[in-house]
Amino acid sequence: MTRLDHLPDIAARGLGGLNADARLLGQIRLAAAGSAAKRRVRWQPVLLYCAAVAVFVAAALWGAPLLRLRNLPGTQPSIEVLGSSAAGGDPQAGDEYWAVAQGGAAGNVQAGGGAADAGSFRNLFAPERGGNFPLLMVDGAAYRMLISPTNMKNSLLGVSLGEVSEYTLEPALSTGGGIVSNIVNAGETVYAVKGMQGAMAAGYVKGGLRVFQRVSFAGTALLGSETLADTLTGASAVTAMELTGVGIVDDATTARALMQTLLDNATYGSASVGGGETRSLLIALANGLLMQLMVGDDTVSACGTWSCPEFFEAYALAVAE
Amino acid sequence: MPNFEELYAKYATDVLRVCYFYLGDRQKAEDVCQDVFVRLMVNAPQLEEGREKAWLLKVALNRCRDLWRGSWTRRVVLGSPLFELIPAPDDTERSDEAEAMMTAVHALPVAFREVVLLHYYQNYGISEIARMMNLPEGTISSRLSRGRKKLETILQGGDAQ
Repeated sequence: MTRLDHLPDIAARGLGGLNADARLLGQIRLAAAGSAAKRRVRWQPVLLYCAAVAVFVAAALWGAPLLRLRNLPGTQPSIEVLGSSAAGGDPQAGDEYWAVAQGGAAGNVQAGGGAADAGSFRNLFAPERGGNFPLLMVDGAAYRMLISPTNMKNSLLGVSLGEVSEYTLEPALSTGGGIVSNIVNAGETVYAVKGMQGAMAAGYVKGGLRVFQRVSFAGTALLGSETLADTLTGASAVTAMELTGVGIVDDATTARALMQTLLDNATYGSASVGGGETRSLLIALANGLLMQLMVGDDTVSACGTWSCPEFFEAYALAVAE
Repeated sequence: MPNFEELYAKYATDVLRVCYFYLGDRQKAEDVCQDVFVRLMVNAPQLEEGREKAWLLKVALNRCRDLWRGSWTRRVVLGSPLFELIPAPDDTERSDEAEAMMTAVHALPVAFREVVLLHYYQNYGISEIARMMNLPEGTISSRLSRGRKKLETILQGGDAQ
């Protein structure tokens, strides 16, 4: 049947308007973040149990000889024995640690404060390294590395913001201007993300073009006359949202309206990021990237903490409808 | 192996269109496409080089088959016999013949629809389809042959069931 031989051409025209676009990619990333979180939650009790057993065994192995030493008359406890047992190894050990950030296209779970509902707080930010998260500082504005994507599309590359002038593991102590990083090597070019200058930046980390989101750092959030919109993105760029523990809004029109509500009503609280957040707001953008805000009672935070009860009311309504 | 973004850019539209061709429902097709790529992202399977698309389509067709077998879904969500084309917005030229052909392929019983889509739409050979579907090559050949006959019947106004 010759007509069947033309099926690729026929379908290319007949379905030419059906394309896997950035909106779908954003939804996939949201769903993957959720799926990975669930998988990790299932493993958490096992890992905690294993860790507890390991600690108990280690304590028994170290503690038994020490107790024997203590019971000997005239013998001082061996401080060095205790001091040399660095449980968990050096947190700055490097490659193994960074593998966590490198490997994940999906989100991970952080149980804020230990007692939080681990399933309701998802973290798309790359984890901390020796007290500092992997970041870029561009003329005083800090950007934190996201775990996804691991290699941003070149088509999203914006203008060059310059080259990393200083690589340091203590960026807060840096006194120089320019671009400072604890993850992007000195001399590497740092780029704006197209259409998102001020909210996101990109730089090469181990060969992959990683994306960084604007955040507070070392007591600094907004610069000059910046607003929340300057550190996030315009409402028109949003295609879907997930407020963990509440629900997903994947209707782009509703998501845009919600973002506009947030931008219009949020009031600035402080440069610090609370620490008591138990939920997260994941924002899927039309360019396929994801952003994250940490969520408190009525607050959102990433670059500063902002109060916006109107947003949460509108979100709850949108999910209920 | 190409990274996730490369695989999405290269193959997601094909996966989505095959799913739509199979199911005839845009939302369901997007759901399946999403499932496939979430699985790729979360499980990060070790895919044989050059066979990434085959893996994606195999997973997609398995998911489509599951959906189609669900009687409620088939009756309520996918029950419409109409297959709507989704041409590009700037493509205003309408072809009744093309529409009839696509509607007829969609109307084939699923066993035939799958092999016709893989062979004629996605240009996979019989041996590759057999590998994807875990079926003997003879079965695939037979289904293709019978599928063509059924398609002819549908295009002539008959019922292929």
